[in-house]
Order: sequence, then structure tokens, then C-alpha cells
Amino acid sequence: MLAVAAGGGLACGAAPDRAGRGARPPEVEVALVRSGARTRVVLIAAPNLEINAQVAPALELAGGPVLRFASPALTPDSAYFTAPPVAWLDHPADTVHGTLRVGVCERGQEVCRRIAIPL
Amino acid sequence: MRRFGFTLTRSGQGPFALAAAIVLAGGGALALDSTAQSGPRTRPVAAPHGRRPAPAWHNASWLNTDRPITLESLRGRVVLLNFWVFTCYNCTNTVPSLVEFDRKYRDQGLTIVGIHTPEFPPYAGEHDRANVERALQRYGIRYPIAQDNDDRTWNLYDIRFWPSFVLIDKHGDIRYEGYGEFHLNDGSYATWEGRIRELLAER
Repeated sequence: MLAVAAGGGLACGAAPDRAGRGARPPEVEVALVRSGARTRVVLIAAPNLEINAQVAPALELAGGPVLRFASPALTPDSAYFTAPPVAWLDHPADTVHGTLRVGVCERGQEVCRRIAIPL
Repeated sequence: MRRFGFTLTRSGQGPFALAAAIVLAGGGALALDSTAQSGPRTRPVAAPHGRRPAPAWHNASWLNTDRPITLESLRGRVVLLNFWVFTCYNCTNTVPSLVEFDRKYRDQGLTIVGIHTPEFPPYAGEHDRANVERALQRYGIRYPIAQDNDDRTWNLYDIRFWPSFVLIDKHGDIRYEGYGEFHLNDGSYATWEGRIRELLAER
């Protein structure tokens, strides 16, 4: 199984890093997992973030197609994913190119923002 | 399993620098490093700012009103802008408080203006007027809503989070700004209500 993880710090509209650090840990990672002739694309959010399930994360692939992520595991109010949301590529892939869009909400802070990550 | 972690570093307004680290990990390491933490966040409560003129918005598509509402037309009224989107749970959780403010203070001179700014591109449905209309019905929203599908008003007010709030006085000056969900009769609700009443009491 091969997983590629990418992400971090590209939050559109995110507050600046108030601690003044130059580098920030990834906010959302993308893992690619081969599954037969297909590839499972998995999103993993940083522990302080919840992924908004009311607008499904999207991977805008280079060339135009848009993959939407889903998971049956949601909070009781259906607001957030409680398991990493998944999308599928119908071919084996070790890398993926495009733009990942995720709505994330800060645990305990009750605000949301959007993240756009070029992959 | 091989795992590749990338850390993106921001440098002012310039391009993002990319530093890549390759990590070899055994086992099903799909979980993030548990040490990954963001920096401290501002508490989501209203904070006073100096007076400055509110910029005029120019949204063309409106709901709950017969014609577009301009800032100029609201001179003499207190205006609470609410930046929201119907797919934001924190936003819709705050709507009952806004509906209550509208009920209590509209006749005393408060106008709530919802600025509906989508999070995602149009394929997600947030730009669709009919979807916004359904949300207004679902949540009992009767105050005017502007569709901000191109983020223009969001950017004009330098908004960063959903939901956000801007309180404008009778002279068209921004007096308070803040963000974050609040609920009927909680501390943030009381803070916002106090500020609304303060501005309503001014000449």
C-alpha cells in the first residue's frame, strides 16, 4: 500500500500564524491507497480540525473532473465527518495533481474556513 | 507503507515555498502526527475597533427584498452584516440568534443583512439561488440576504471565517467586528445584543 500525504498551511482566509512560526504542520493530508485497479483517496484532518460534511470536500483534478469525498460516518447532526472521507480514482495512481478544497472547522472555536491545496 | 509528508511554508504575500520530507513508516500510518497543532486562535467574540467607514457593497442578487439594498439607503439605521453560507453548521447554528435580533430590534432601527458567501465553486450548489431560498425557509430567515457568489463583499470587508459579523452604526461607520457561532442567550449573544442596543441608542 502506498500513501502520499500532502497539505498544510494554504488555508484561504486562514488567520496568520500568530506564533510567528515559518512552517506549519499539515492541516489536511491526502493519502492514496491502491485497491486493485482503483485508488482510494483519503483525507485526514489535523487533530484540531473537523471536516465539514455539509459541503463535501472536492478534488479538482487537472483536466477538469471533480472528485467529491464521502463517508457514512458522521456526527449525529451530520455536520462533520467522524471518519476520514474517501473518494475513488478508477485507475492505479501514486500521485495526484489538481486542487483539493476542504471546508474545515476549528474544534472548540466554532468557526469555519476553507482550505485550497494545490497538489 | 511509504508515506510522504509535505510542509508548506508561507512567506508574506509571495509564493509558497515547498519543503518536502520523506518518511518511511511501518504499519498503517494514515493518521496525522499527533503533535500537529496550529497556533493560538483568537476567541470568537466581538471586539471593538476604531470607527471607520463601512465600504459600500454592490451585490446584485438579493433575497427577502424587492430590490438591492445599499449601504447608503440604510443611513440612520444600525446594520448588522452576517457573513454566512448555508453549508456552514456554525453559521446555521447562529441563525436563531439573528432571527431573534431581527424580531426584537427591526422596529427600533436594526437591519440585519446576510451576506451569503459560498465556500466552494459552483459545482457544490452554494451559488444556486434556489438552494439559498430553501435555506431561508428552513431557518425562518426574513431579513435580506445578498448572494456574494464572487466573494466581492467578503473580500471588501476582509472576512476570514464563517460566520462573521460586522456592526455598522447609524452614520455608516464600522464599530464592531467578530466571528464565531453563538446561541440564544449565551455570552456572545449578550455581547452582540449589548452592542446593538448601544448603537441603537446613539443619535
